[in-house]
Amino acid sequence: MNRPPGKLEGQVAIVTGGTSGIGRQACLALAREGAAVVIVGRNRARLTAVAAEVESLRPARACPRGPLGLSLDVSREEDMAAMAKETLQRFGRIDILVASAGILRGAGSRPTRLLDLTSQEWDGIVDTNLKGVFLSNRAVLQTMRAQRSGRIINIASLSGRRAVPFDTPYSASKFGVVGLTQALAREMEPYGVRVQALLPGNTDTPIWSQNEPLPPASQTIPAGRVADLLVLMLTWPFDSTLGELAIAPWRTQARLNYGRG
Amino acid sequence: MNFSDQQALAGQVAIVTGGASGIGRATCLSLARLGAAVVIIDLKAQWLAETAREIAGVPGALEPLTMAKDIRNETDMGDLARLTLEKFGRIDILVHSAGILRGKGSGPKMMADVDLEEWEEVITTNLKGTFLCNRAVLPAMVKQRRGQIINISSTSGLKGRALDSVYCASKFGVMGLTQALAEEVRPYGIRVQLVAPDAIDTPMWDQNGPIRPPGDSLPPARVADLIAYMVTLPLDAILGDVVIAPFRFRRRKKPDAADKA
Repeated sequence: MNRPPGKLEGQVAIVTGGTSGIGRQACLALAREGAAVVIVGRNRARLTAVAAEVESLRPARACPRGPLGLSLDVSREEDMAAMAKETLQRFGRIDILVASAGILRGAGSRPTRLLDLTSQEWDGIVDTNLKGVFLSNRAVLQTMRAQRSGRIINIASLSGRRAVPFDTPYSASKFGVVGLTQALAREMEPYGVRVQALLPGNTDTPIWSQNEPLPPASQTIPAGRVADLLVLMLTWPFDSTLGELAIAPWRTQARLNYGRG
Repeated sequence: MNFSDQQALAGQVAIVTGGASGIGRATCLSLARLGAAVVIIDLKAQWLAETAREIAGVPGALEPLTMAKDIRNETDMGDLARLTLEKFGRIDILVHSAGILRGKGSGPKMMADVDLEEWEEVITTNLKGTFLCNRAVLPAMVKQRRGQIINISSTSGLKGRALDSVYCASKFGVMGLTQALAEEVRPYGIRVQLVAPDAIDTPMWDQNGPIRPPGDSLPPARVADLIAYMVTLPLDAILGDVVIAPFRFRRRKKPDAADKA
């Protein structure tokens, strides 16, 4: 079957947290649009699985090289340097970064009052969600600035606009991502690097499996819905920007503009 | 992606206020391309005819219904709903794009110099007009248990801007009205969203004679593309207020010191 040319053909995209949830859907959507995809995650088995999915969607003519799966940790400086280096070695450029790696709570942990929070748990969440965005963004900026072109989308959360009690570190980290993104967007605009935040509400991803019981399915949007919006943002003409975008399940989260700066 | 589905709005009836120029006209064209039956409202009969002719040039587009009506007039807005229902039997979408920047022939000025007449002209068109046209379509949408409204505010509805206090007040009003309405009518299956554009290259600037739109103002089609995405977004999700602003990248000839690293 003939399919229309992808809107991101010839472009090289890195997705952190690419092995599950929104990140995995982003990898698949980018592959469908013809981009070369670099999948970054910590779980090797899942990396292999997502790489195979991406490979099956890759339009061979538009995108001659298959995906690259990198087992790296966004909270480690040397890992993020390796991410940029290996991407450049294989594909020669970096056009897109989707920073999707994030955690809601510590492994096996439940909603906790700040009063009872260990600094270990705090560090775990803030290191992945906020420092991880700093390190992954910084790792690609030199290349994008030299190219005078690039797009970064940081996946924040509606909790980065309206904080949620008993999830203080998550809310704080996501407010941090929104702030970092606003500042970086203005810094990089003169260099042709467009930096944006995407704030999803409750989305149907494995992030919830850290805290049983799962929320009912009627209260989440499919992760593919968020990936569709990512594609809109990434294919948007370079004369303009859609800034900070929020998307949420319509039936349950209508107040998604609350607290907007 | 839903956005590129050519007949995504087949069978749907869409009213566009201020539909004969600027963002409204571009929106009429993009909704017609997606298969909607379009009802165009504007004060200017000549522009209405021109817009209808443009739509006639879109392959497969349905013939639009044009009405020279005033959004400031309660009776006109009542007629708008009645005549639309008589002709098409339903109202699925309202895109409310009618608006003015300043009083006729007036420029930016300090609030101290704004006379009551100009205040009333801008507030009546932008804010009361939003109330009247939104209210006019609600009975039909409530009865259908289905409908969508997109109101156009402005970046001046998020941040005050010196020398356009009246416009800012009216567009902040549109924000508040839209957020309240969105929450109110959600249980009836009506999704209400908002777009906040920065400077767009439209005839709105012409009211002010010598004042030209800023050099980097965006083509109205950008906003129309965004609106098309928003109305075709599956009904499980909703977008938060979307800002669309120029991306100010000026290509530099030489690398700067920061590139050498």
